[in-house]
Amino acid sequence: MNLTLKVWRQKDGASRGALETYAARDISPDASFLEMIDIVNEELIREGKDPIAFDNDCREGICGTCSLVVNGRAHGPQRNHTVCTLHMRHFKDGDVIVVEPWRSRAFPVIKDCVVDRAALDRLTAAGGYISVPTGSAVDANAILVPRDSAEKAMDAAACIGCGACVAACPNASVSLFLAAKISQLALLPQGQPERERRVKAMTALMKAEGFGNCSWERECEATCPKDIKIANISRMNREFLLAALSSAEH
Amino acid sequence: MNGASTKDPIKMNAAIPDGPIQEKWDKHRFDLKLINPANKRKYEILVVGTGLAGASAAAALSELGYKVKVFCIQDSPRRAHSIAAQGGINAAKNYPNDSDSVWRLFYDTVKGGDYRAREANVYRLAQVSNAIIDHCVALGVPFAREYGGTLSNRSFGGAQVSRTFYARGQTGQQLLLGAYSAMMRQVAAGGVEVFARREMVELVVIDGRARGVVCRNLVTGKLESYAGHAVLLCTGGYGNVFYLSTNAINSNASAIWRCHKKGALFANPCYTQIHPTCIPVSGDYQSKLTLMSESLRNDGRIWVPKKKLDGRKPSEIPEGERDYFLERKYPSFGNLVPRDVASRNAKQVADDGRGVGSTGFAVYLDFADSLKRLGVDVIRERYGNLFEMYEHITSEDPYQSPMRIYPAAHYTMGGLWVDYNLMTSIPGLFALGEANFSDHGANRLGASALMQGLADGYFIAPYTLGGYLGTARLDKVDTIHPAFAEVEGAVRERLQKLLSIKGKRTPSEFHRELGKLLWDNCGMGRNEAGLMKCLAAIPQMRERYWKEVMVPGTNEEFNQALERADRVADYLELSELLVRDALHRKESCGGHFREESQTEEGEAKRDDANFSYVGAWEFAGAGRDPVLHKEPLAFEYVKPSQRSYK
Amino acid sequence: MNWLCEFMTSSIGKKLEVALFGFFLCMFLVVHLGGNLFLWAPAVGGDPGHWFNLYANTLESQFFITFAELGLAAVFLVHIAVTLWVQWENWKARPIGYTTTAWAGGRTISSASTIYTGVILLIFLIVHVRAMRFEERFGGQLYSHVLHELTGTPAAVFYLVCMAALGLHLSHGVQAAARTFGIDHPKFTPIIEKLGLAFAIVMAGSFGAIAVWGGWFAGGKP
Repeated sequence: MNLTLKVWRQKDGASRGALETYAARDISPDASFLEMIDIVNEELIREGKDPIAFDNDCREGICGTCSLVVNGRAHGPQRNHTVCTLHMRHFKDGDVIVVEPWRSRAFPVIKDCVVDRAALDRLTAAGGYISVPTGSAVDANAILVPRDSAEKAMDAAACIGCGACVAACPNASVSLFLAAKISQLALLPQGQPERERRVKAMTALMKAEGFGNCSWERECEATCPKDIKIANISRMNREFLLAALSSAEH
Repeated sequence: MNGASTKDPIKMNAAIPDGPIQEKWDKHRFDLKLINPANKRKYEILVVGTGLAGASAAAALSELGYKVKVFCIQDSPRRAHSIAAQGGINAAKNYPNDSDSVWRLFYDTVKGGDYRAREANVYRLAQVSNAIIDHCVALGVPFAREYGGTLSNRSFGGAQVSRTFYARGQTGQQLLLGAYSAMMRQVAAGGVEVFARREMVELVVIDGRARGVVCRNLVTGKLESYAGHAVLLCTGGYGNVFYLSTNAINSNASAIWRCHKKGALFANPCYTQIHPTCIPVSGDYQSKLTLMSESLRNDGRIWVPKKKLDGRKPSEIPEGERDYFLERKYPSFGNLVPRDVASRNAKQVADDGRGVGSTGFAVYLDFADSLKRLGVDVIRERYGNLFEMYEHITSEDPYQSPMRIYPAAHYTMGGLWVDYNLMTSIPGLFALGEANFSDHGANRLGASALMQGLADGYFIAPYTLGGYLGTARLDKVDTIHPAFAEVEGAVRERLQKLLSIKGKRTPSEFHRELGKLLWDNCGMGRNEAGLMKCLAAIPQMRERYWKEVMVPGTNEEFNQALERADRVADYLELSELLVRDALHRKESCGGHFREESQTEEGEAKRDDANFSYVGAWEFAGAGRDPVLHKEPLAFEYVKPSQRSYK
Repeated sequence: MNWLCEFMTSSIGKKLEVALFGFFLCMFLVVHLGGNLFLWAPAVGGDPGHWFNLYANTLESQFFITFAELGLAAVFLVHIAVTLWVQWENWKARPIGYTTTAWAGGRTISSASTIYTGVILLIFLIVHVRAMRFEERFGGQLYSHVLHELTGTPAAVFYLVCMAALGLHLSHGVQAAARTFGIDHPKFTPIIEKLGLAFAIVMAGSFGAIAVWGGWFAGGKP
């Protein structure tokens, strides 16, 4: 199949960007979306031109590196997909495809479609962990976790940290990413001791990093490649409210 | 002195402690020098890579009080390729009461590695395996649970006990996020500093010791020097040398290869693992192969048509005309034979013209029986996300028709040679996880890579590194030392050279060409003629590379083409060593199958009399043949026998 | 009290305030609608406005009415001001937008338009309060005043548009407020969502019906 790409090109963070048009020729419907861009890039390199920069790594939907907005949808048109597992069979010959980077104040563009998502790491560092020094754990089966809690925790823990929730949110809110981690740890007995501290520290940073606020538009949920539910955001809010009201600070 | 070598005997001291194998690690930990807690913060440790080994080591070292700097090529340390491991992690917990023990895990690993691993290392791995599970649970890893709240186990490729812990099909992800979170806690505490989007491009050796690294800042292209008291390489394996592999696009061998060129011995490069259950190649544009966890083999049955070039749909082939070749040949292990055996058999039936799918390079993995026996819900619970992934990629529904699978390059057992302390032959340079060679011999068992990465990072390196720092006399070094400028200069020159060639071919074209050559001649089956062909072709390819490659842009910018070009240049060197090692090892063992050395039934035939050693190669300079050093392997506890899975 | 300040200005804290004060406003709507229903009470002695005027005059003669009105104004003010603050932050969070936008299926007309229906309701509020509260009101004959304000197509259309906006606003707002408070459960959330929708329809429908009645059917009566 033959396609027309309109791709966001931007030399670096300080430059202005614009959409540029490229032709993708003889693309197999079985190729992945990123392989399609590879083909375009190979052609550009052969011509000595600057290939389209885009983040990608595992290409099997688990590392969370790939981050393209395809025709206005983060990770493209398929539900529960990352763009690296999107295949060209979902497009038609002759389609015009617009490719843009994640857009958020908290994710500045580095080049073309590559953005800096270090804010997500900083959010994790604020409290997305259980403080247990190596060596001090009890026997694994000494901590009983009801299967249902373990399953729910796993649903939340499946987050790949790609940031599509931010990219898709009309408000560029990071709530779903944050809630997934807070939920996972709140659901497990291991997470209880730091429960209040965690939710307060992590949610406080989301404002400081310049993310927007959740208004329950549910675009994050509809976009999330790992199908993480907004019920997690409700749980985060519940945790937040309880922590704010019950903790002993003044 | 444990190693015999031809050149420098000190380099090959494996430093295996004396005493009975059960007591070696305890004794060694007691013998290792301790560092005063107050002094630990004076030591700067450089950790390269943030997969299971790197992230866990960084967390554990910082908890001890060391100052740690961590480097990763990804935009976030959470994205290292450990994240893609699916099936699980082994431990000798014996929770299912099925007669597992540290001893059995040790035994299985040595046997599974086809008697080419160091016994002492493997025993230690089995010993610390339980502590890993404890720690990961404490970190909040949501492992699968029974209704009573206890941990759930399953059996995994090659094991007859259920010792594998898992978190759906995302065990690697969950373990990595656990280690990452532990590391990020240390970032918040100030003990760890993360440098993301940095690629280590050179090791800095001062007075014979590893004292720093030079990284390329992938955003600005700037070369950055970092000095430290020790360097931990946790950069994974070199599976991407095959171009098509299950590794991530950016997984690369440059860090270990450049350390090799700086003096670190490279052990057993020919031990590469081909994973039997991957989604088959569909076309030339293919950029990577996707692995389907081999846990699928627990409930899926592998078959091909009995008839050659049978073009029928799988549903049209009656039971009697199917060949369940693994069950037929290995009645006791059936579909659960180790990876190398499963892969080789798939290749054999495909070469025999009985492969399936459009290319003929695939076999069926059929769940029809299990679906009938267990029901859709159980299968969905066990493999739901894998089935979904398969459907995403192939647009075929495995609940309806069998999956098509084929082997793909997956893991490399070979790596930098390390002693019992995980230190390479360059003092102060440690290699952890897949980057080293130590624990898996010639073949790695399923669910053991995660175990090894975390064992090295959480529970081994933090002790042995202290032992090194406590005994080595380390003068103060900072980046104004002339060695840093010198190394930076050499790197800059190399990058400028790549940029100045301005040829007609892309780095990927060369990489693809190299990968195909290796896959055909140095993949699942290897013979002298094919290896000789590679040995002649690779240097020519390398020469062409440095004349014909096209790398657009400059160094002083975000330049993914340059990143790739620099890595491919290393593959063009490393592949030659891989082939050379494969050529010299005239036996079959584990993942290394020399067609000249097989039993009458076509199984791998070891030659213990001549090859029971670790082959560690020393870089002798550009254009010179590398020097082979041999570390003999002594098997005092697990007597080598011909592996049999009949 | 530092914690309170932090809590109130935090991202979730602000949303909690919007939700809480939105909930108060919902209560007010119920009371308001209850009062309005007196418009349709049976005529007494040929006076269709008897009950409504009685209700209105009784209410307005209570000593607390000024406080109640001020309180209500404050509730509106907080709900609006905090929402605008939140919205301003949301716009700021994406300084460069997408050239192409396509929603993934999470957004609904009501969720996407909440801020705009809110602005419509703010305009409505100003017009409505000015007309009903601050204009000359036929000396206690509030019933006549209401009819005077409602009669005619322009007024009816204006009211209907605004009540449609109210319906949209509530149909997202009620369930969103519940979620903001952390009320989310596989069993109860679907019920809350349906109740929220029902509340929106009942409110918009009832007030809308009054507008239709006042605009086209009750007109001309004394």
